[in-house]
Amino acid sequence: MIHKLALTRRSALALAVCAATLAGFPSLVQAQEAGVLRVASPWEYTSNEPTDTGFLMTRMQIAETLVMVEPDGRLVGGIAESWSVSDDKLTWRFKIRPGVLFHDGTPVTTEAAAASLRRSLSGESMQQIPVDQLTTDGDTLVLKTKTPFSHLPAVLVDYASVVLAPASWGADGKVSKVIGTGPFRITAIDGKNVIELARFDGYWGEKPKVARARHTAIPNGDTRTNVAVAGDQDIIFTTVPSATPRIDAAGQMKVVNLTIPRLRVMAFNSGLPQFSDVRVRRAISMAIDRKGIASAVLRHPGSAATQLLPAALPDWHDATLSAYAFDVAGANALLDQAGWTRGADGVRTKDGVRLAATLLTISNRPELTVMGTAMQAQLKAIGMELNVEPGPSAAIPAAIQAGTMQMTMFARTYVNVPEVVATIIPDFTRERSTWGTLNWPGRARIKALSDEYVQSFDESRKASLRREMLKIIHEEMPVTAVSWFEHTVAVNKRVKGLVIDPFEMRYMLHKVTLD
Amino acid sequence: MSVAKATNTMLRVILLRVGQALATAALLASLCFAFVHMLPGDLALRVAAARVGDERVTPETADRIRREEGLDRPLIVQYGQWMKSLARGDLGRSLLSGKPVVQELAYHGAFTLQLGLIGWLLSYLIALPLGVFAGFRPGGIVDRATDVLAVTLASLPTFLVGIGLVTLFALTLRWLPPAGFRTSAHMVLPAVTLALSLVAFSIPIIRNAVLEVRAAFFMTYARVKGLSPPAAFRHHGIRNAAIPVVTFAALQFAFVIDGFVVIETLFNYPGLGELLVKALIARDVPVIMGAGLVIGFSFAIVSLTADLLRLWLDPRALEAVRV
Amino acid sequence: MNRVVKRMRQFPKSIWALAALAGIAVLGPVLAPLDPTAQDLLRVMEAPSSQNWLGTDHVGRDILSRVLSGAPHSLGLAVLCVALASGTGLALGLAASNSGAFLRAVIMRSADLMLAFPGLLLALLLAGFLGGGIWPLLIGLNLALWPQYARMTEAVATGVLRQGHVEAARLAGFPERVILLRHVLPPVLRAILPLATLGVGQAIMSISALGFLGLGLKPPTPEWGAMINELLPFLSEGLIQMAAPCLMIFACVLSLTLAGRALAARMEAGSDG
Repeated sequence: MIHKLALTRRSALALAVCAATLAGFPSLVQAQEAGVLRVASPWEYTSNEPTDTGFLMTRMQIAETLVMVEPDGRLVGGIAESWSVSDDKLTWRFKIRPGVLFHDGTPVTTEAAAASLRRSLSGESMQQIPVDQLTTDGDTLVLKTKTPFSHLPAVLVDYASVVLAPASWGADGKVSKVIGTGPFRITAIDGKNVIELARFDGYWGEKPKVARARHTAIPNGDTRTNVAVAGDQDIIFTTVPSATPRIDAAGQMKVVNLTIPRLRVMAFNSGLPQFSDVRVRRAISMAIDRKGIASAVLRHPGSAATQLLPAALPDWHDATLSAYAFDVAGANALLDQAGWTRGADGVRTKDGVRLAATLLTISNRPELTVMGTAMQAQLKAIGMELNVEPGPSAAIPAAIQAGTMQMTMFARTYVNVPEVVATIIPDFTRERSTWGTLNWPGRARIKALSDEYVQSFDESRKASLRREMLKIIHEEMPVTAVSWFEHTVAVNKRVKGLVIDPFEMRYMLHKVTLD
Repeated sequence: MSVAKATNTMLRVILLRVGQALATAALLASLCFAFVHMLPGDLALRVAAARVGDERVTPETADRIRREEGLDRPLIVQYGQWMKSLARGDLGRSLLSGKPVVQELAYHGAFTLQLGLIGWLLSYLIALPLGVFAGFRPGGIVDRATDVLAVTLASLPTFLVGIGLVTLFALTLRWLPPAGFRTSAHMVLPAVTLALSLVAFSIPIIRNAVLEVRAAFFMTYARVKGLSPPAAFRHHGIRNAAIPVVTFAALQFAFVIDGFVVIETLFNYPGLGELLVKALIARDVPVIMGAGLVIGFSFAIVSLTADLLRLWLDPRALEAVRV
Repeated sequence: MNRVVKRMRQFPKSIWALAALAGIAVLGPVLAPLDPTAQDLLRVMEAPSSQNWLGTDHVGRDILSRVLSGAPHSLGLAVLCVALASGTGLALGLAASNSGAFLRAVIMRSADLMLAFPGLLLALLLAGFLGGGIWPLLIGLNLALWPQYARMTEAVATGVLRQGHVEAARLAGFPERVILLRHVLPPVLRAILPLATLGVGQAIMSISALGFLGLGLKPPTPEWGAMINELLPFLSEGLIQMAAPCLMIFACVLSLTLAGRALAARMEAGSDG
């Protein structure tokens, strides 16, 4: 009996060890492959739906939109070769580029493009287009709008409108497989973390130099820093700004900065008694040391905002506007003038209302919390109490829905599509916008200006409308930029030819070569 | 007790315990359901934010998802639906990815199982020789050294151990990759981190078990019979010393799950802990419930295995088994 | 007087270390030389100097002051968590051992159930939903920790209640309350104290792990785990700054572990003798 037991015990142990060894070393052969471009970013490939992960499909150049944007801001043809608008400005004709192939080898027909676009038009971001009807006419896609909509081509750059092959959709109407037209095609997907890509030889445009690429999602910022320090990837997008010196010092990768039209903005609930007076909002802005925050927290003095949008967007940057001032004495004087007096605890009050607020930030952008704590200390100097509360991403819309939002700070791109007005409308013209103004009376003026802007096809009129909108926002500060975004990209020594797209539409990997 | 009767009792015990485990797991999943829905805030909004990204989420997106996923139905209906599907072995689909929860759990669970097994085995590879040796020479230099080691490791949070190992081996010496899961080289640091945090607690348990057994009467008897000390321990001691060690090994399970959350985040390892944290943030109810089910069931199975091992090591205990 | 000194000499050294830490936890904020939340963006990540003995952090705050002021948050909160959990466990364990089979089964089965649920995850769940802060931590860790105390209490209390002298006391007509206070509570407390001492160490680690994951107390609270999280990107420039909160966590958990062991050994020796 004992003997038998001993035998089985030994074999059980052996089995366990074998199983563990097999489980533990499944991929000894998968050593570092040469010639694979290894790209990392924080973004996980959570699903196949273009509304959810379309940005990864366009960035990794798997799928393409009808219209695309070049890094210099020019709109160029994507799947649509060219486009025109009728004299009444209501009918747009997009000529489908001939010879474009889906990754399964089937050609992109006008019908396929129309079917794909029809599905994406139901998505929230595309609903701003006042679509009347979408038809096809030979090799041309005809889109009629109810009212003139001058920036339609720009809206069609939206990643939610990527054109996928008809075979992409399953019976349930969901995307079961991504069959795009881009220079890279998906060869394998490993969970949410890894997408394996290969050059698509049937691509219509400039073909990639590398034969294979891989995208790895690394959501944790510290882990991204570690990987960059170790040089374990070729290109890492969106590294933690404060880790730049550390990454550079390690010598494996070099961090490249580019100012992009993404902002870290602070938004007020202008309906609250403490923020309804424009003088208070201005005083708060004046108390914030944007340069100090930019150099200490973001480690890039140039990213301190001087007005809403950076000069990288020449159309929407007005050099004649006076830069945001940092003037604590002036801020205090402004608050005195507005009738806010300091209490015994150093916090100002007026009519029983304390000059205090909770600032909601998003915890997955750690620098926002640090900036918030920096602002907390700076606002103390003008007698304002700020309580910084980092939360999950949905905390801000949830607070707005619940009516508890006081102040928020978040990162916001103004080029979701390469026409800023598409962001101005949802952010500055609504009573309760999720990522912009809240209960701001000035919204009516912006609404009138932006309505005219959308319908206008006259460039000089549009330029003056832009200036007017920027001026109102700059002076009233229902939302104020704290810093512009430096797109931080860690690049391995062996990578050559990387171009950074300030619109974050494409990672421009087709231009990259590896040593 | 005859062999047949013993086997019979054993089978009954196992069946009953597995049944209990399933019930416990379902209860745990139900608790998760109640818990998630008890929390303040709009669930659909959280799901929407996780799906389309922070910047694109609008109340309209939340409304669409609420409609599409049937989150506007009464809670009792949603719960009933889940229970009905569960009876068919279907755990539903993730609100975030749209993939079947079973598929998500299997994918991430395999990674966690792999890491857990290697880490756990590694920990006993370190702890067993050290603990046994220390138990044989209490107060000796090895005993004192391992004691210092165990106490030191027990006083370091897992994330500090992980940061230390990454800094040393990945960033300074560059021997190993700092994060990832693709090759066996990627497994080393997370597995060692896990093993070290387990070793801290298993060394003293093993040492004390060995010490106790060596002092026991039957060992003295074996020595009197003329066996050498190592031989006496081999024949009579191991089995008895193993009993508390096995019990403890099972108790480490909950601790291991906690450790995974930190280790998987730090090493960008797509395991169950990472899945669960993401699901919690996104309020992905089906995944949270599925994970609750799996964790509850595995806990029950691990303790059942431990009990069976104990029975096997000490068959006398079968008499005492109360069902 | 002499007797007191003698008794105090018998205390293990770790208890003294613990007392020193408790002192820091209580007096830390008073001892802090500077305001732990005062920033100086012109002096970030500076090496130790006569002004900032342990250097400054990434927004120019004094590390020494932050480490000292962090003690009540890390250590104090952990003690509170464990006190709450052991109190809950004690009450439920006593209730289980003193009541009918049904209530006992309900309490002990729920203890088993909660043991299966990892504590850190529970706190994560709460923190993720309720936002950071003290309450999610307290509730989450309490839910996770009470079962072990309940199980220990129930085991010890049931054993004691079966013993001869308790039977005798009952026969002699002493009320339940007196029996509980005089006969059951002391051994239960003796059993729980070492467990709780170790538990505080574990709670410190859990709180700091949550801080490290960015889900713990709200900034600018100088909680040690959160400090480590904040300083991690600056590791190469600020080893000393980073080491300070790490060492505090280590020292606290170490002395708690040693004290817990010493207490357990003492209790064991006491029960033998």
